[in-house]
Amino acid sequence: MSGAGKAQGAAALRPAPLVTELSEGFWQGVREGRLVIQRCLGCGVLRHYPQPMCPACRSLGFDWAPVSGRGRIYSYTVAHRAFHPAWQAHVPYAIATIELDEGIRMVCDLLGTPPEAVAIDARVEVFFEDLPGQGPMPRFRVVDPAVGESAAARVSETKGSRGRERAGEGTPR
Amino acid sequence: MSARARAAIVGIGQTPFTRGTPHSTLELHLLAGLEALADAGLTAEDVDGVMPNELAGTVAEDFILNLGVPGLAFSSTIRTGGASFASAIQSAALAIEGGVATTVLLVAGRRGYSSQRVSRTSEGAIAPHPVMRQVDEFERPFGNTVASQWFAHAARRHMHEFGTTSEDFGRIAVACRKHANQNPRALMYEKTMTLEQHQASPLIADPLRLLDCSLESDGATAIVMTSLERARDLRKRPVSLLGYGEGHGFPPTSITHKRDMTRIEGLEIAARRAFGRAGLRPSDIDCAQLYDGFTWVVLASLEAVGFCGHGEGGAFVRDGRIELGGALPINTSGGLLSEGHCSGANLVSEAVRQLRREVEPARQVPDCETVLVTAEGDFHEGAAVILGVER
Ligand SMILES: [Zn+2]
Repeated sequence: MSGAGKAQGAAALRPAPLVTELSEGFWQGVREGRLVIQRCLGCGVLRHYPQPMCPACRSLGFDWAPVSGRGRIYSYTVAHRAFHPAWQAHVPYAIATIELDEGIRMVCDLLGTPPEAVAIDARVEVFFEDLPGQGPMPRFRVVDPAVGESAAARVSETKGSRGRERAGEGTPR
Repeated sequence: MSARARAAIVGIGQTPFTRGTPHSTLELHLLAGLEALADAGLTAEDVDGVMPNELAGTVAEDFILNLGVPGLAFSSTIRTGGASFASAIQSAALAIEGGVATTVLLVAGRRGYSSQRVSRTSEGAIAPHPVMRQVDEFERPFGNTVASQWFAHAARRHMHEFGTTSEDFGRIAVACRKHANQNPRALMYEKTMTLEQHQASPLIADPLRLLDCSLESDGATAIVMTSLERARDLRKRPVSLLGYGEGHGFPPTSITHKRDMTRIEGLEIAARRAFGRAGLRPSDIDCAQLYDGFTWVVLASLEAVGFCGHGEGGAFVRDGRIELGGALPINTSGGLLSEGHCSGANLVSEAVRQLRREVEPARQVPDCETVLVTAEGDFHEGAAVILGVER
């Protein structure tokens, strides 16, 4: 991390994902404000995290399929201590294991959501955000279950946080 | 049962568990190794197999060079994190049974306090590892940066599905502490713990509290293995290897993606294999040394081994059953939670001491003839060994 990140008053930078050739399609989607998941060309099964071979049909072929970005919290923890300086100012913060409606799991810190609002089975949806040290990243927020999915999507559109184009400039990946 | 066993543990050695040491990791390993050889009545010249531990970063060449091992015939390092040491016992047994090596030295432990403190806030990973590649790309950048957080997801889901409570985790921590309070080797020998203190300890990664986490300690543990036939002529009462097994759940590269994160699938498989090889059942076990990186791992291990059903771990630990004097004493040295974190190797040395009747009388499990040691490493990889003595 840069020396500037350690200067007094400046928060440490979040660690950049270690992008591989295999996962480039996922991150390319993120830079375009789209959530795409590796899909086997042999049998059509979605898989995440990216890997070269499909363990179901042993095909090496894959493409990137768009997914809804909607799902539920499968499990979570609330970090009361930061073990990386980038999260020092955010404790306590929730980290959720999210299960998308397509059955894919992802992990995300829910910095904008108070830990009390985080619960197993709470509905979540994706948005995209430029983060210092990381560039464009997929993020998730809890959708008020009382609002319902379609209304929540409208709220999201109003906030302009879905599908917004992101420049990939300055990304350290 | 011992008719099936062809390998045995004949020596154990251990440096003190400390917070602070003048020794390097390698020096700790060499000191523990020499003690284990002396315990067996053997010398470095007898060693023809070495299994260095992944988490310590030592290599076979270190042992050739420093111990003066003249005829190394076998060396291998298992890469399943905390399960590496118990899995290495399986590999050493195969080398001995296959006639590749006669005398294998296994060493583990690190400077967990002096140079690799997991509690330190840091921008770097503690131990970069190919198995961590997916987590490094898709979890650390999202704030899921350390083991206590990874395991908390599993513990939380277990609570959600089965009504397991933080007090259940606390009863495991307290049992281990009570045992450590009777073990002068334990780092927590003089420090007692009540359930109330456990509940008052700070949350680290909810639901895991500080007292749900294993210790940061310096120290190393070594064992020497040989054939059971040769073991009978050596210095100490042989401890025979009745069964061993390892297991790998799916996917092996993250906890959050496990098909069922409330199970330690790798250990379910490993334990089934170990019991099958030994021709034994969980009810035959006199005491169990269960890998305890976190309290929840112990609870899930009780289920994985089959001491109770899936989801029943909370109820199982509620009545003192797992304490000395109970039906199934566990972690009778205090374990990684209260004796010291020696990458699981100190669970094996404790099993050997129990079987040899070498522990303090207050800690001795009566009529102890069969001991199970389990291990959980990386993302729910598993290993299990069953040790015994002849009547
Ligand atoms: Zn396929």
